[in-house]
Amino acid sequence: MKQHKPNRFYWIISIFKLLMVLVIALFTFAPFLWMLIASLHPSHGSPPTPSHLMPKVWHWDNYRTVLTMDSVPFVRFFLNSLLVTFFVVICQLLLCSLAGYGFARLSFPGRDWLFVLFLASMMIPGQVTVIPLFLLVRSFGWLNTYWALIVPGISSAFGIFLMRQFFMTLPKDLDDAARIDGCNDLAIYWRVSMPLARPALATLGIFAFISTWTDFFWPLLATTTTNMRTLEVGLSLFKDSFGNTNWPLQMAASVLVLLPVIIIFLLAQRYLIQGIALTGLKG
Amino acid sequence: MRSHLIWIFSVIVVLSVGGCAHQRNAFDSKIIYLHVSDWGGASADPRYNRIQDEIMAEWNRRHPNIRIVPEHIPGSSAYVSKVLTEFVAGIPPDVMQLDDASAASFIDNNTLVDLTPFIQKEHFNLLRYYPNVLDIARRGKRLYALPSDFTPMMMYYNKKFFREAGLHYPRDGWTWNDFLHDAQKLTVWPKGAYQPTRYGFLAENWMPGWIVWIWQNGGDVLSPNGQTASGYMDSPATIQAVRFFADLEKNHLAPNLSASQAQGEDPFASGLVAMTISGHWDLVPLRASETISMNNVGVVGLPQNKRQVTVIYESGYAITKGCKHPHAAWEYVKFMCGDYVQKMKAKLGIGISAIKSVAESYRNSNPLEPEFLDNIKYGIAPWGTRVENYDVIEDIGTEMMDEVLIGHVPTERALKTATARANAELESNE
Repeated sequence: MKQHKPNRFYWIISIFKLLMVLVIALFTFAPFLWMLIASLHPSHGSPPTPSHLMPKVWHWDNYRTVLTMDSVPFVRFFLNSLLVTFFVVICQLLLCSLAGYGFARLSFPGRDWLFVLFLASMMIPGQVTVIPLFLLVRSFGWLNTYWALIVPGISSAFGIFLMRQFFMTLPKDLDDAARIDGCNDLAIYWRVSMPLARPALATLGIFAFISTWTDFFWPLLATTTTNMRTLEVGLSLFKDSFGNTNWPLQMAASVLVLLPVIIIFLLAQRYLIQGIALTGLKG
Repeated sequence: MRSHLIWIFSVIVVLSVGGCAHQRNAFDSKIIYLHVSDWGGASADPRYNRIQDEIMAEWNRRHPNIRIVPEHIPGSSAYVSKVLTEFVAGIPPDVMQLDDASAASFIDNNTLVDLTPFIQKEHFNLLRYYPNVLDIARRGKRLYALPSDFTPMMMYYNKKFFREAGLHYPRDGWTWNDFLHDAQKLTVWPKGAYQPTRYGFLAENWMPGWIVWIWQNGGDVLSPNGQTASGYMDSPATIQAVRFFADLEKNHLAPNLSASQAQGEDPFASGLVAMTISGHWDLVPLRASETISMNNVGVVGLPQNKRQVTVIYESGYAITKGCKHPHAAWEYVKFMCGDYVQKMKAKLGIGISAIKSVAESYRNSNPLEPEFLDNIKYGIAPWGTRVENYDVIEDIGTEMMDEVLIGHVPTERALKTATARANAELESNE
């Protein structure tokens, strides 16, 4: 790229833009910052107010207290959530991209009708299907097991829709070239389309991650013992026990729940924006 | 590397699922397992966890062949949803903790066992319980739950602020006029300040908190049979009470909603308000609070206009239909609502025991206890004990109060709209 010699006007505009972005970022970030600061206040104290924002001593031990609590096994909740989310995301990436590829590239009778049917299922609110799903899972004997937490989430109509739309944008010439080189459909999917679909896969992965990680009602229904609860349900248990009396501990627990979401978002942010730009879709 | 990870996780899943199945098979056939749903769990108070453990140990000592499998369900609305879903699916818990505010949803849907046969067979003495608390789960001659603990809603006041304002402490039998006078004197608005630095009272939009004002004024929100809101929710007595309540905020005697919500902590403990209505449970966080001393906390019955009345919030234990071991379940219900557990729980001070003798034995445990005990006789149960899905009507009431307080809709019109909405809801119950 050719270097332009920046003039003074350009600098003023840049600084102004930067300031604007900083201010907006600060507003967005403030609640998270408050959460972090509140989590470092002495436990049993009141939440920080503008006049007493910073604690005198940083109480990192609040995090240890949360993680080592006997009555609320936070580490176990964390592992449960991690395990469930990991499998749901992997399965969704695999199954939704396969189905999406089928809808985009293969031609078979009733394909479009089937696709419309999938789309229509997106219009049914989750509350309607939760009881049939509960009965089904129960009849498999899966209640209070990881199966109940993972299997209902391994595919989604939204994911199939997202992947199909993305695969539609890939030029067919690539497929033809691959076919001439001796690839069958599955090989084209895996060797040609999937590597190109990274932005869409990242988008789907993030959506699947966030919705699974933050799901409350289904894990509550599907599990009965405290050691099978996920983080979201555990956090609610924690809130019932500590919410009104111990803000710093409650905030420390909330930071722990939120941290993976922030990390994943930061790691995948580049792909997410690419995905939005490429598919013209927003979450 | 990635494929390794997948394999490792798969093995963990298979092992843990297999592990659960193995555990289930290992259940000894002679031992009865009772599934119990409650909203307990853990507490910030280590004494709570210790006492829960002691209660369980005592149960295991008394009934070594009946094991309790507890499920702690967080969140009150999530509790109702989860247990109702289990009923629909045909796998309810054997025993459930029953909150009076959602009792009708369970009793009227025919999900609970009538306890009368057990009571008659054993000549179980029901006279030991407070009658108005016991009757919460009664339908005619049938009784669907034994009461465990409860609280009448009371007026908490900050004694220091009363002294500073040169006021006498409020006494039982005080009136709306006394209350209004005190609230005015207690509100501190320094010259030039944007808003008061202290308010007389905390007026929240939450309907379970303000319905008592309507009762005190001789009004109500539903007809005695609970079938219509017409002529009650829009009656002159109700309109007057809601207006009185809403005016507290309009006249800056109570913080507006956003101010009290933004506070983030209990505005009474922090000293933003001098009076607030709450239950016995508030004593626990107040004792732990660093911002208010218990020496400055006073409690008194609610002010009256036409009638002295308060609302009781209670929880009890019920046996569900479909319970395979009703006799074992009855033993557990008796245990949880009996002397031993009630005495243990009374030590925590969250609620008041429904057994009169136990509650009275704690009369002198703290200076505020007598006020609570002497107000029990004025307590009546919330509508939720008798009207199914009453929580929806409570939501309508809360939204109505928002319209009055934030939207500045005239009280009469807001109540008229709410009456129509409540009627539609009640009809859908039929």
